[in-house]
Amino acid sequence: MVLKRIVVMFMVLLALGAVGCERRQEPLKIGLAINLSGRGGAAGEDIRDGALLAVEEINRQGGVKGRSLLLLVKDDENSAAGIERADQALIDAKVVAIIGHSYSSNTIKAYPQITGNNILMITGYTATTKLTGRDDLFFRTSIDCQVYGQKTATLLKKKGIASVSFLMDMSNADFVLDYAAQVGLHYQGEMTMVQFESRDKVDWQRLSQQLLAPSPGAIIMLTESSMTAVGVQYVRDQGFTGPVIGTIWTQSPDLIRIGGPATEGMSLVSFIAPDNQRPDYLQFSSKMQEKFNKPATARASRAYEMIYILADGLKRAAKIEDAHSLKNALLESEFESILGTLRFDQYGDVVRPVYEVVVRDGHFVNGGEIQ
Amino acid sequence: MRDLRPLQDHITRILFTVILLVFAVTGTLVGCYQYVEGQKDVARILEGQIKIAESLIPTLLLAHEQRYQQIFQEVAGRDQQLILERIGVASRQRDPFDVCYVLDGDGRIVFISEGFTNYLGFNPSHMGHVQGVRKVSGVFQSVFSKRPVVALKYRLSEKLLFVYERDVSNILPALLHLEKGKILEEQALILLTSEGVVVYHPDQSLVRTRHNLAFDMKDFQGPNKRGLYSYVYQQRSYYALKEELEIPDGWVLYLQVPARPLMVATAKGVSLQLLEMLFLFVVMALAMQFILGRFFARPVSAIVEALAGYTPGERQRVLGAKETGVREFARIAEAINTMADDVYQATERFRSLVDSLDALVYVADMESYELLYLNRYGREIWGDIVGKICWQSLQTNQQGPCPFCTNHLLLDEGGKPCGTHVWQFQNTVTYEWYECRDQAIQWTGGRLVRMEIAINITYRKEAEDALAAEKERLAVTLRSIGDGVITTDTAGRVILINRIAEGLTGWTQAEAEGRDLAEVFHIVHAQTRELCDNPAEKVIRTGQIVGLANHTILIARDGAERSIADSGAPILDRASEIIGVVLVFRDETEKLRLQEESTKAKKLESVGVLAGGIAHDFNNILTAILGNISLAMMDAGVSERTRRLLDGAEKASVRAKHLTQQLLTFAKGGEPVKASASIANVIKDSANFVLHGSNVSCRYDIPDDLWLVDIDQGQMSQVIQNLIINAKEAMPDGGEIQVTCDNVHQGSERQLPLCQESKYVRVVIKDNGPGIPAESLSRIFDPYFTTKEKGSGLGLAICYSIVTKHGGHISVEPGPDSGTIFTIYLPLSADDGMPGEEEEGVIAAPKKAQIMIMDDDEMVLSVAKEMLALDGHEVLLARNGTEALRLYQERFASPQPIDLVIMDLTIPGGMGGKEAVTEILAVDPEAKIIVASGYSNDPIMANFHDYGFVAALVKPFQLAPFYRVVNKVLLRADKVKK
Repeated sequence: MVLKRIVVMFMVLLALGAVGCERRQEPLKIGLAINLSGRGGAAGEDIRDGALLAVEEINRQGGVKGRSLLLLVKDDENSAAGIERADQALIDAKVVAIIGHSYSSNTIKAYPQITGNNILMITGYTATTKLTGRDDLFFRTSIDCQVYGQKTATLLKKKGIASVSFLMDMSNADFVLDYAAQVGLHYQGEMTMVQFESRDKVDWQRLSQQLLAPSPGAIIMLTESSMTAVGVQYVRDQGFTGPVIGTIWTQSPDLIRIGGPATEGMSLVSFIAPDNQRPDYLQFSSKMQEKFNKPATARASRAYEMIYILADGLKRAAKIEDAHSLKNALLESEFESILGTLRFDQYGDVVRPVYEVVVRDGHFVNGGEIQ
Repeated sequence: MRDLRPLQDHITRILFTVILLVFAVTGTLVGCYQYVEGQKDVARILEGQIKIAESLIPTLLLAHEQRYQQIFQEVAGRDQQLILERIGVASRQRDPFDVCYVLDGDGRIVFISEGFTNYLGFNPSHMGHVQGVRKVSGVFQSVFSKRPVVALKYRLSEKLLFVYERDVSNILPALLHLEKGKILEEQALILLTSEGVVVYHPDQSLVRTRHNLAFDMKDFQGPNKRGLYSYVYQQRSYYALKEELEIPDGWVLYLQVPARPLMVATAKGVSLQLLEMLFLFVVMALAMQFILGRFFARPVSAIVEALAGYTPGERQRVLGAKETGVREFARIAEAINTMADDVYQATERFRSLVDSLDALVYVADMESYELLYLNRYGREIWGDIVGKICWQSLQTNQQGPCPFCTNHLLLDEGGKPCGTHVWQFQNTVTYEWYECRDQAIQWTGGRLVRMEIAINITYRKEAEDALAAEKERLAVTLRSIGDGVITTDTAGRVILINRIAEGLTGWTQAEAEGRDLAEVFHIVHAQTRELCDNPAEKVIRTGQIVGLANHTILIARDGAERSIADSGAPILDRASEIIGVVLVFRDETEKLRLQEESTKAKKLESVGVLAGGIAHDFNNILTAILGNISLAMMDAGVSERTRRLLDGAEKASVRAKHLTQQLLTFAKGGEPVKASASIANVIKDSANFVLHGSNVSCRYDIPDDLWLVDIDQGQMSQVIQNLIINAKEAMPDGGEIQVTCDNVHQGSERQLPLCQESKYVRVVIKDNGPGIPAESLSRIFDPYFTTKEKGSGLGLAICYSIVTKHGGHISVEPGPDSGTIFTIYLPLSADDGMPGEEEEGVIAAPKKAQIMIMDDDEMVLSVAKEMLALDGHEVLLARNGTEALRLYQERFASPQPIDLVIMDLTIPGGMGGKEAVTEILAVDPEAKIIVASGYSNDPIMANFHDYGFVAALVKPFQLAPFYRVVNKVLLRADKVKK
């Protein structure tokens, strides 16, 4: 009798323990594959931090359909091998979507591997037109080179530039060649192309001389922020006082941190308005400072935006771990993000305005929308 | 009892429960202690290692500093070129990926390590690691090497600044080496910058990617008492020691261990101890169970078993002292034996006591109805029936439990005894009456049984029944009496009130009983309204029968007042002591009212007789006056002035005539003598007569084409006068009465209360007085109802009577704002009713006729003779009907028969016209006889044709109407003959 009671008590304790140890719902995994350790990897820190912050906020709000989000960050090392390794690791981890990569060339390399595994791919850092107009699992929140080219040509005309020299980092050849070609479609002035490989040792003196040799009215730097920062110093040292134009690739605090006063007056063609006063953006900016001791950047805000768009899509998707359901959910409505309203066309390409961003007094300011 | 556990089970269960709880609490405490001790051990182990790492890191970071400091001292104050050459030489011996460079005064790179000379001329002076005040910067990606580095700055001269970018990977080998010597499995060393960026981590990818680990450390808490911090990283809990480094400033070193292994290790350590403890506790429990069972539970069981065999009240030894085996329990056994003996003694005493009672006492089971006990009284009547069923033994002819069984009344809803139920019952075996006191009591074994103590009350019952019957008879008698009866006690409190008294006082028996008489029987003096003496007190005080004073009013509970007559008498007991008062009273209200009415009627009757007598004589006198005046006025020799005077006298006489008519109407009532006339003149004459000299005026609204109506002008004048008088009295401060007449058709008036006629003349009399109270309107035409202080209550009743007898209708309603409106409807005249056709003027006599006048008044005879003679007729006079009949018979067969007879209706002491007409008509059926009377409202006057007359003449005679009636009859007779 007594023994029976003791056994019953132990059974109850065991049952309670079993309930307590009940397995939690698996988190929804989202992959982030970007360059963190390769050249220009410092910019990747902002992407990672923005994405981490968004994930933390969403989880605090209850996650997606009761499941928390888990961000798996992989360094693609800005190399083909690194890209394949990073993406495969994420695919093996059964992520529902992969955000990546940092450059058009890297994205194009990763595209078949990711979409081929029936995983939705989304990026805010890829402008190549090679992925434009495809009915696939590829989405992007960044505009493509076709729009960039048109807007850059408009900006050149507005500034009355008769000739222009391009500094082209061929480590991201898909982007820079595409960009220059699209500008050429809309710009009638003389265009000089100066190409280099940032992975190699860069002879800055020679590059700057090549850029300035045709006495261009403006220089367009199709380089990442640290390269642009160094490059703009050298062309200014060579006495060039004309407009230096960068791309959204350059829109990073590193441009000003590394380039210093030489970047003053530079123009960037970007879809990230620097004077964003939306309350949710200001809150995001404040949290970036609080959590990471650094200001909100264009890259961080794009990463933050993408996480929220993905979470929103996952909430509305019929099947939460099905790429095509997620795709349909993303296509069916507009999104209100910290960067404004956006929507995807039927091919997953974004539709949003483009601005001229100007470096003034060591800060990015809005030079107005380029119509 | 069956649900209760044995003592041995209780002891075992409690013992093991306590031991289990003690074991659980002890185990928990030991576990916590071990866990805390484990944390202390971990903290102690980690502390030594982290101190080593803390001292190692600055050394690793500043590994080249000593060499460069020596060079800087050597080149201090030397040429820039020399400085750069010496630094260039020294920089060749740097660790892999380290970069050093020198900035000139403009901040441009004038020297940089080999492999990065393409950056000569580049200006990094604005960058944070150059501008910052810290000697050692945070971790950042080098512009040159693209690797995570920390920068160390040294000022070479006023213009030259030496920057050494130390690749963080160069400190890793030493830290990795340190980790090899780790004592705890899974311990890890982590080095973060002040921003939280990883400098060192076992996961090298975090280092390469400059991961911000501080952000990923969730739920960061600490330090606890052991100096340990806790946090969650990638869903795993960790404990860590934390050290903030002085060099580089703000860097933080963590030495972490996962929490789970610590808990597992603790659990392993504790589990063995718990097993040992469990064994110890089980042994202790078994030992205690044996001891308690042997020396406590077993003796208790022996006592319990002995008590189970004990029958209370029986003489027996319950338990042997040695059977318990323990001294204390042996004493308890002795005490139980003593108490059992005491119980036996007490039971015997109780039995003797109950047997001595002169009452039935029995006990029966409430479920099985088995008789468990019966006292001697019961045994003598029913025999020894203990053990039998009560309803079979104590009663007879019962097919089951008695329908009058009170078992269900002895227990409450919870099945607990609920007191004693007392009732009376006639036994079906003995036919004796018993007063039974039943209650549920606990019997041996704890079961509930029914105990009844029944006292024989047969004699008392019979006496009570007789008394109750007597009481009932008395009560029925009292309640059946036609007068109100109230009895009180000597304190004046009501004991009984019969049905009549209930109706008169408004108090029911239930309400009145126990109340003070003055409250129920509230009497006051009719005139003074003072409270009358309490008749009960008066009776008790005097001891005599007392009657109420006259004019006593009983005010009922609802405020109704009634005149009563009553008397009070003392109620005496056998010793002639007063034990109460009986009041007998009756409602005298109706009787008094009838008396008053009778008195009033008698007064009116006597006045009416007087008025009638006066009127009769007065009419005759007026006949003479009026006749003579008429004759005088026919004298051509009379001067105009005399004629005016005679005319005035004639009018006054006519008014006197009308007054006489009213007097007669008042005195006798009777049918109206109707003639076609305009009501307008009656209204105006009557109103002007009443209002003459008063401050009330009258406004008339009477159309010229107002139809004629058939009215008795005298009666209708009385109606109008009464209404005008009322209106005048309603306006003591003056005012205006509005009289409106119009012709109405039956169909034009809604809710016209008339149906026989279709055309009416409507007379509306409206005053501006305060109006009649609404509650009085419906009674306003009732006889003797009045709202005036000195009114007789007959005025409007007479009006109603007169108008109704005219086939009309009178109604009253309140005015729209104030005042009262009386409306009279009178049917259109039987003639065509058009005004202006009233017969006026003189009809000439068709011939000189033989006319006989019969009247007992000489003045009337004389005047009538003169008036008829004046018109050329031959007149015969008779003083009574007998004489008239004789004269008529004499002339009937003669050549000059009597053409017309005018006979007074009544002849005091002789045959009047009413009887004579029959006699004359018997002689001559064609005789023309006119009835004449001052009683214009006599039914014969109104319906003269029914009595054989051809016309009626109302005294006093006026010449013109007189001639008109006489000549009209003669003319009609003459036409018949022709």
